[in-house]
Amino acid sequence: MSAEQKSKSDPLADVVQLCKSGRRSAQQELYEACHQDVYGLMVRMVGRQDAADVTQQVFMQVFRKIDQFQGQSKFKTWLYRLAVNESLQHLRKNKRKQQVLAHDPLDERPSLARQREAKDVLEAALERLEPLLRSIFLLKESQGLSYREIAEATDIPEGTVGSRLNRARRQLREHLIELGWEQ
Amino acid sequence: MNCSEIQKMLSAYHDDELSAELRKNVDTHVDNCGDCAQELEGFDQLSSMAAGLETPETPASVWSAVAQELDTDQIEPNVVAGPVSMNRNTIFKYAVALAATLLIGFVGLELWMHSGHDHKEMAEAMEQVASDMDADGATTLLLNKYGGSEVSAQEAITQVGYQPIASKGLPAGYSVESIQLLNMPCCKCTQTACRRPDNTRFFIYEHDNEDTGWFEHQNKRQTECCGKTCEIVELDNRLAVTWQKGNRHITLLGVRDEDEIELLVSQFEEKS
Repeated sequence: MSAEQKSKSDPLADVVQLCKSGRRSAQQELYEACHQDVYGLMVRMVGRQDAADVTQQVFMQVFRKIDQFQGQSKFKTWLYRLAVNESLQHLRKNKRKQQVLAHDPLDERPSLARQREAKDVLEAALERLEPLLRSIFLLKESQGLSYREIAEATDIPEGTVGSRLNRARRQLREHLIELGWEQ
Repeated sequence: MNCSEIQKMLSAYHDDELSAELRKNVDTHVDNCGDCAQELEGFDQLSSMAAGLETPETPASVWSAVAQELDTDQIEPNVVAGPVSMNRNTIFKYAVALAATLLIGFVGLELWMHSGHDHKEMAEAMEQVASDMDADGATTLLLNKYGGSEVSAQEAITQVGYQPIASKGLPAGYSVESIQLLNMPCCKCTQTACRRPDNTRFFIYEHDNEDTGWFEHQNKRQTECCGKTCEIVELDNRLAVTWQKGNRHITLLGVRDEDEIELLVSQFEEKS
């Protein structure tokens, strides 16, 4: 599919084009269309405390670099690429802090895990996952990207997306068991 | 295929990313292999759990912060370096008496219609804007009438010689929806549509200090806000307020109450 054909199939193509002229109303429209997806990803990538700041940084990157988006992929795939990069960069910068935050009270109180809902335990297990694997898992499960789109968003070969997801899922299962989750 | 080969493809199978032929191979294997079937069931369970994840709402402050940072990006380098900054002292020679038009429209339409200015049509248009403040069509009404167009803050500087005041920043939760350049019969001016946190709108008109006789025939009151003398006119359930800022008059149309006036005026005066 050509870039032009892809552009036509992208529901955000028109508003992205308007954003390139710096129109504030278009920028806001694009933000409105995408912010929840980005914020949702950031909450699980960097934690709720920093998610708003990193989401802001992601959209600044989007609007500063939007001229570089040539429609070779869907806009959202390009957006996720910026978002994943920004979150990984943030985690690298704040590695020490993240290590402190990664301390999970469930480690010491496994019995609580049994009382928690599945989604809470999965949140805790996700925090333990290596950030890149976490982003790949979330792009698949929460954002519904295809393997090709995940490859573009995370800058890994498409052929390795499946194996990374295998690793992510197996490690998540192990973490869930460690956290006392009972099926 | 053995278990090791199948397990390498298990995620791709689970995510429906395999070719039909490979999918059939995995189907056959899983039907006859308890270990691989169990692992696949684990993947299914993870997907079910992930589907239950909840995402909190993005805080409204994020867009405000983005908009404010974009303003800094777009405006500051040009104001400092570009020819616009050289014209800062004379920029208002291009600006407009829209607020005069607007307010006279509200206040003394009849008086204005007989004053010798060709502003009857504009005054009527303003009446419509005032009576339909939150309708989507309101802000486009003037554009349609006077061939104006939406511009970025930077384009506005080039066209009218000043940076629309709201593009320098709004209170938390407020945002600039659009900046429109109006080619009125008498002048060119900016109309900035702003959105409140509750999604309702108000408008800002910026224009030259052409007419000092506004509100003369209207019930008005004056209030001091941030060291500025503001004139307030009540329009049904909303307020119009105007104050002088350098050579310009700023007019806010559709303000809710005096608390909001204080919030907005202090924002604009602190940002300048």
